[in-house]
Amino acid sequence: MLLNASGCLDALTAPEVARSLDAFVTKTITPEAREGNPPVRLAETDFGMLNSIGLANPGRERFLADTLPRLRELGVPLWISV
Amino acid sequence: MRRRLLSVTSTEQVGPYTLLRVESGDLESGVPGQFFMLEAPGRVLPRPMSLCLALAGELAFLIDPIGPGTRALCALEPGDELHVLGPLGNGFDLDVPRPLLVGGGIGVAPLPFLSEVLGSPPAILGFRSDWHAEAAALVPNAEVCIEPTYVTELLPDGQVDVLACGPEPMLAALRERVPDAQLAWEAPMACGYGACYGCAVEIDGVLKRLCVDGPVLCAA
Repeated sequence: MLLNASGCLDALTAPEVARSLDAFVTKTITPEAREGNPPVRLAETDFGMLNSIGLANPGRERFLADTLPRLRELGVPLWISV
Repeated sequence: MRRRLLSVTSTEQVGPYTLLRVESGDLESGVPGQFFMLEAPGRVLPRPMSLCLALAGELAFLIDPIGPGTRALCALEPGDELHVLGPLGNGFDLDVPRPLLVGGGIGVAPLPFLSEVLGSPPAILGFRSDWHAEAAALVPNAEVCIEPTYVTELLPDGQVDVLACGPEPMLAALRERVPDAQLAWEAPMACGYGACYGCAVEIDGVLKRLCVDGPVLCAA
């Protein structure tokens, strides 16, 4: 089964990529909206990269009202990271 | 938004900077101020670079070799290939009656393309040395200052529409003088199109994803 890692793909921006997966995994949703950590949030190393985004997300209610209906239109199984 | 494997056509030294030219393939040049993600050889994260020149069949990027990624990009040679994604983000609003381009240091990078599209309006460019100021040759109709003189000291008194790119202290000083200036900001990025939230910057207490909210933001 081929999945994306949570937070690494915006299915609404790149729907053709999402549809090529067996399931699309969302960026993590929390009960309340979170702005995330103060910048700087990314650091590359010689062996990979570190990130500290801080679970930035619109919160459960906005996700259910705005994002989830649009994701359903993609026609790919959805895994919601919570 | 397209990602393509493109060939380097040439590289040219411009003071301390490198003008990297790649074939454009079917990538569009976009609007001045938009950016492309260039995948640097041997690095994990691509580097966001605004388009410096839109030439026939070529895209050109002015790069300051300040870290491992930018040094790897500047070390590319004609015939080498790299992945390029773009154009991305929001560029400058070109519907301005009295454009004045303002650039500082490597912030000069998007101004040659912007100048061409706007018909060579006046420009003010600031650099830390004469060597860095060699990049001013890429922008026609430019007045140049070298530190300790700053671009804000050369701003005219009359009404102008400022379109600027440069270091954050320069952008902050411009905001004080020209509240409605269009400012191109910079941040490290990972995806370049809004998915990862890695490029957030805090402006007036509000976090903005530069890749989709910017990189050009109105100061007001």
